[in-house]
Order: sequence, then C-alpha cells, then structure tokens
Amino acid sequence: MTQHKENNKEDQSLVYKVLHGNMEAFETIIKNTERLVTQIVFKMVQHADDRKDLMQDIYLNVFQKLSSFRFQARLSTWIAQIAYNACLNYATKKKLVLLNTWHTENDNEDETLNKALDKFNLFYGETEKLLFQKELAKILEDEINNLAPIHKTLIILYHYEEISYEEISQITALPIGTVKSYLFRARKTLRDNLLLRYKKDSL
Amino acid sequence: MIVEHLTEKEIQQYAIDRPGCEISTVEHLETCEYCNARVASYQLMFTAFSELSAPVNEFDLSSMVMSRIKQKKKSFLPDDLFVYSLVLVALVFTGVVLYSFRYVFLQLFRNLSYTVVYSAAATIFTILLLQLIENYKKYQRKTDALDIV
Ligand SMILES: [Zn+2]
Repeated sequence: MTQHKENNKEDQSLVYKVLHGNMEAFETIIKNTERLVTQIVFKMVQHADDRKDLMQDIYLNVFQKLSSFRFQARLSTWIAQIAYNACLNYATKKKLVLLNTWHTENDNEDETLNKALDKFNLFYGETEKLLFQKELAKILEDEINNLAPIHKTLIILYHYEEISYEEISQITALPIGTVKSYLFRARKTLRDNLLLRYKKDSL
Repeated sequence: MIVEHLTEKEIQQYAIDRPGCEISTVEHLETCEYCNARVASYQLMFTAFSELSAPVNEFDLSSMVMSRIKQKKKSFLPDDLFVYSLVLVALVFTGVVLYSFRYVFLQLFRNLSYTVVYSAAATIFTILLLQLIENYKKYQRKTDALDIV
C-alpha cells in the first residue's frame, strides 16, 4: 500500500513536470516503462520493423494524452494499456489472429504425459534434472513463442513481470476471470509441452 | 481404493500460492507422490521464468521519440504563427478601411444617439477581447505541453 502511494507520488511529479514543459521528465517516463512496453509489443507483434514504429507511436500517444491521465491506475499500467491497445489495433489492421482455440478441454493428464511425469518424478532433485533445468529456460522461451499472442503476453506479464491479475485485467480490459482462465490454459499447455520435451530428451 | 487426485486448477494454485489453498489440498499433497510430482513440474517451470531474458530494443527508443516530438513542435508552431499573422493583417486592414472611410461612417452614425453607438461598440469590443483571451489561453496550454527546455 505504501509502495503504491510512493509510486503515485513519483508518477504525479513526473506528469506535472512534463505538462509544464520539462522534457527530461518525459525521457524518465520512457526509461521507466520501456521494458514493460517492449515486452507487450514483442509478444503481440512478430514483425521487427513494425515494432519499432509502433513503440514510437505508443509514446507519442502517451505524450499527447498525458494531460488526460487521472492517476486512477499507476502510470506504468496506463502506459501498458495504451501499448496493448496499439497492438490490438495493429493486429486488427493486419488481420492477425491473437487468440487460438485450445486443442483439448480435458484437464486430466493423458498417458504420455503421465509417463513423462513418472520420469520427471524419478529424477526430481537429481543431476539430470539440474542439467535439464539449464536448458529449461531456452525450451520455455521456445514454447512461450508457440502460444497465441494474447496468451504469450499474459504469461509474461504475470510470471516474468510479476504483475497482478487485477493490473493485467486493467491493461488488457479483460475481466479478471478471463485473465485467470487464459493463464490457467497457457500454464498447462506450457507445462505439458515442457514435460513432453523432457521425456524425449531424457530417453 | 479409488484415489481422487487433485484437479489441475488445485495443482496450479498450490504451485503459485500455497497459503491460499484449501486444507484438503495440502493434506492430499502430504501423502500423494503423483500430485507432488505434478506440483513440482509447475514449480520447476516457474523457476525457469526468472532465467528468461527481457527483450531489448536495438534502437534508442527515447531519443527517437524525443526527436519526433521536436519535429511535431516545429510543424505545429509555423501553422499557428500563420493563423496569428492572418489575424494581424485583418486587423490592420479593418483599421485602414475605418480610417479611410471615417467621414462616411460618421455620417452613418450621426442620426443615431451616442448611447446606442457607444453601447454597440462596447459590446463588440468585449466579445472580441474575450475571444482573444480564450485563444491566448488555448495557445499557452499547447505550447506548455510542447515546450522543449
Ligand atoms: Zn494425488
């Protein structure tokens, strides 16, 4: 709570400075939020050149709209919201698919998965698992990239940027229940694929 | 005996937020090796997230944005200067016309009482002044937002 108040104070002072002509303050805002905006744009947009233009447009938009920011959310959340919307508009223009239908509605482990899990259990805490762990980040990155753009974004915002369900809901304008259920599915898909690759690698 | 294992949701919740779980979940996990392996598989995945690297832009975003804002400022100011010089030209022109044809106008107003003429002039002057102040305020706000220090 105190942390939130501190953030709010810093946000207010930065916004005030920018609105009174201090452009260094706007550079600070960019530097503070660039990582989050980059994460969203990288997960939502495949094409590197388009990302470059889009990110600039996002911050020009932030600059123009700054006087309408009312501090109902954190500045970073508000900027992330603008970034996410810009990506949605981009996808609509390019007619890109941002969500896919999940292949399986079955929550139970199937047999292949169970075998992988058994193997995993066997090695739990052993050298093999440690070796696997080193490669795991690389495999995880691959598997995340195989997810649909919106699931990718949610997974990274929650598990890497450590943003709460509530804030993700604000950024994406999705109901919290939807955010949770997308995340549930995305985690399960990722975990299943990791296990299957683990099984394959350890054979 | 048929064992009811935990649902995938319960497994995920335990792996993410242990204190927020039902007691029955915690109790089940005290004895079930299979569900423990399922939890462990998620936990292992979550630790791998911290080893991912954040994407980095291969360009200097902030200087690119700042130069585009400066460009906007440049293209914005001449436009406004143009509008204001037009207003100035119009004012000078009106002044010249009024001065050149002053006898005609005086003739025109001679029949009217001074009170009517003065109150009409005062009204027009007040409206113009208010408009000018309003425009000046708008202009100030725009330049404030675009003022590069
Ligand atoms: Zn069980």
